[in-house]
Amino acid sequence: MESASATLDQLTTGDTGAERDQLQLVTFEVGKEEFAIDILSVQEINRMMDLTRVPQSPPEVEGVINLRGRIIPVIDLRKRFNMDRGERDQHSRIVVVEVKGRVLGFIVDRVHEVLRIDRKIVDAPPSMVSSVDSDFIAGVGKLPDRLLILLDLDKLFASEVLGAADIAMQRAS
Amino acid sequence: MFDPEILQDFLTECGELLEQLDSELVALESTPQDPELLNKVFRALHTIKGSGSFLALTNLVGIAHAAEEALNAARRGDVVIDRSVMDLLLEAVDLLRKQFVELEAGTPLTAPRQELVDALTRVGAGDKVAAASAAGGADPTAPAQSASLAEAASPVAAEGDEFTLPESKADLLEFMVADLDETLARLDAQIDALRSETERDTISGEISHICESLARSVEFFEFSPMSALVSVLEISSERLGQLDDDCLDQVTPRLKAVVELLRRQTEGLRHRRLLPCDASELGGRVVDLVLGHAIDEAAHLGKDADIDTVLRIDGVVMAWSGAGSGDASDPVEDELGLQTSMIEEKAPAMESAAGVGGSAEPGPEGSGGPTRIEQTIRVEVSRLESLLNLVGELVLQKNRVGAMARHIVREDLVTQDLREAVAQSSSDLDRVTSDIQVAVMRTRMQSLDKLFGKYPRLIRDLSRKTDKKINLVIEGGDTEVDKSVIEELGDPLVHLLRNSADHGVEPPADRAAAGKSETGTIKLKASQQGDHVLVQIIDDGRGLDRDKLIAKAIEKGLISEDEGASMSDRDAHRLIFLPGFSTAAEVSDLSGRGVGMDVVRTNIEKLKGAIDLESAPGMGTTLSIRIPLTVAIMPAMMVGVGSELYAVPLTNILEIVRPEADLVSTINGRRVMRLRDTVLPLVSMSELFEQAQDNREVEQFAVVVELNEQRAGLMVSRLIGQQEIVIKPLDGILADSGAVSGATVRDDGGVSLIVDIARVIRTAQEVKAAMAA
Repeated sequence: MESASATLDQLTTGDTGAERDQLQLVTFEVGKEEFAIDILSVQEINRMMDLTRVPQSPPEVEGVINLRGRIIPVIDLRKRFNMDRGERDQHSRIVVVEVKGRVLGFIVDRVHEVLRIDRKIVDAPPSMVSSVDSDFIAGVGKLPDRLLILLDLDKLFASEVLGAADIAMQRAS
Repeated sequence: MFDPEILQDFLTECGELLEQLDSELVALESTPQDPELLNKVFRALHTIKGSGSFLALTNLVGIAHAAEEALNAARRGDVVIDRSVMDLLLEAVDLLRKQFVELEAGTPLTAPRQELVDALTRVGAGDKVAAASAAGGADPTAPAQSASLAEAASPVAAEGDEFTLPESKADLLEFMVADLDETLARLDAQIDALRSETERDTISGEISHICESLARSVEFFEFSPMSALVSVLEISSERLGQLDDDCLDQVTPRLKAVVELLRRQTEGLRHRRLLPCDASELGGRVVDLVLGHAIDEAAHLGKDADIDTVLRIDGVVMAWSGAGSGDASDPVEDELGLQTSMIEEKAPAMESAAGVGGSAEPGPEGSGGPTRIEQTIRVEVSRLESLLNLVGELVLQKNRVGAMARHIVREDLVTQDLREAVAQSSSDLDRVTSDIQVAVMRTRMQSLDKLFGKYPRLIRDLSRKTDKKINLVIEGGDTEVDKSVIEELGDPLVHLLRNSADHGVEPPADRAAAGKSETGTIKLKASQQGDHVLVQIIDDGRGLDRDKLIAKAIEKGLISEDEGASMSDRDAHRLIFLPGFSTAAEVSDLSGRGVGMDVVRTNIEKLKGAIDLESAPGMGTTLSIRIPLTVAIMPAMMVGVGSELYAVPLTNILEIVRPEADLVSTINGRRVMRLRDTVLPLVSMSELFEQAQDNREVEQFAVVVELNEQRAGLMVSRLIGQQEIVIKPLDGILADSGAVSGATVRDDGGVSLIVDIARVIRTAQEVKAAMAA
């Protein structure tokens, strides 16, 4: 018990000490690819829960959930990335983030780990790195064994982008 | 530029004054001699000016000062506020309002039109001549003033002694110091001249006149220690002419001492210091003397007592007396600290003003100018909102406990004691939450006067523009509704009032020809009815012309000719709520702005309210708006559709029926049911909400909903029960979703969407239209 809280303290002091060259990231998996976002934008990570469908909402919005009295939209990241709809299993998680003052959740296949990486190993997004639109990518972290795609949440969840996707869908149909 | 907090205080406080000014000025136009009202308006302007000058808002101070001058003249009865003067004053208030907006936006303030300032100053100038001649007269309110004087003077000693001013203010201060030097020198000379018996009357008039301008410049900077001293001079100057030599011997040295104190304060100002100074005893003695009261034997002054003697005898303590000897180079870094103390310093001055205002007939020169501030608590809306969220949470918890209690009671494992305890705590929680709910709601409630106060001005301007005579009668302005309702209601009401004034009330000639009084009346009436507020706009104008409305609707393709022919008067009148309908033959400057009544209706519906109208040709039109007291919590019926649960606002539900198969029929592919003697269009919830086919169930219940007297049957599969629901907004990206107006959390913690009845009714109207086709 004691040692656990001590570790926690160390962690937090480490955070406030803010080694600026370090990035602290949360990494997760969507459709066989590994993504990462800044830990500071993450409010919490929840297991899957019942979603309430909202009729005639933008297609990538899976529904709304009750986050301690607050109703927040939940977006299916697979739909957002135009990937195949995957099965929900015990690994599926809802990552709750705050983007420009709005709180929303998104569904990922599984959450991997919390990771510190050196800012130096992050490159600008190349044009073709993954199946994801490069507009949504803030950078690519080159780990010794694999690549991490750093997402730009502001762009990914900008309401006008979500709306535009919706309009595009309507036009197509 | 400014400390944002001080600026915010200024905007809030003076903004409120400004809001009242409009309606007070319009009221003043009909009762131009009302001293109460004149004083109120004067004080409001004075406070705005004073606070504005503190923030060095030169343009704002300029116009406020000119308007204040004009009102001062009116207060003295030198000028009567007629229409032309009122126009000037209203223009000044308009400009002030504009400047407030600019101040909020952080843009430079518009300078007042020079002609406007000049014209107001000319109105104000009338007072100077008259004031000087009237100055010697007895003032019945002097005792009241002396009482307030003591109040004003005593806290002075506690004030801080150093200050710095924002750079922009420095110029004004220098100007003031130079002005004060000159004025004080003149005053000193006049006091010396008082010894000459023959000219005493003239001189006391002159002194009174000087004091008046002195008071103005001191108040301009809101330096209360100085105001207190100036008040002493002001009060005594009016009576100097009547004093005998003995008394004068006691008074004049003291007056000279007061002038000296002022001079020292001025010197202090030059070095950015405000001196702590308790001159209450001196002030009190002067006032006693001029009123003919005896003073302490010990306080009697010998012949030609010098100033220091006077100060000693009268116990004046001043920290810093050597002119120029102070440590002026000492920089004061804490500018903010000073500004705060300056603001706080206003408090005693306000109290004194309240004392003056309380006397039956306030003297022309009050000891302080600032307005009387009502005892109010300002609560940040964001805090209120979070409190409201907490209450919402509490209601939710209450529901949960209720649900648990229901479960526990069914289990055989629990003891009787536990059952009772749970039931008890549930009912306690119920009671407490409803109490809190009510209490919190009250903190958000505001009276409709906040809105209604703006409308007399609106109607006045409209009637002048249209050359109509319109009398606006306001009733029930004290009815309280939720703050958010007030905000949303403002625009629709302005629109409706404009409509009534522009289209409803006829020109005087037409009215006379119709045998009505030339002056039209628009009544704005509010009343509380249960959990709703009814706001009515009633005009006695020409009313709606059924045939014209129908012709127009046909012309615009909104209805067919057949429909028009069979339409009831009521339905015909309601045509004006249809999108794309505008009744004005030509677009007028006043109300025809492309946005029609449909926008008004949409706004009202957003508040979960309803709008309706009644009209009789030649008799007038009555518009009725019903809005809920609050938009945060409402009772709802929970219904099940397939596996999903939805909330239907209870206020819209008339009844719930289970239609027999033979009552339901299909016309042109649309389902309707016969309900007693009417035909009710049916809307299937699962279709409306595009449920997946495999999730659909038989919809056996018809929830009959009504909005604006239009009905529809909402088909659902299950009825769950009634609940108080807390309305939660949906995220912006969901704003354009289906027929939902928000969401709520159920007693099992899940989320349910709230059905938007307006959309359901619209869908039902499409059903009706399809049937007719």
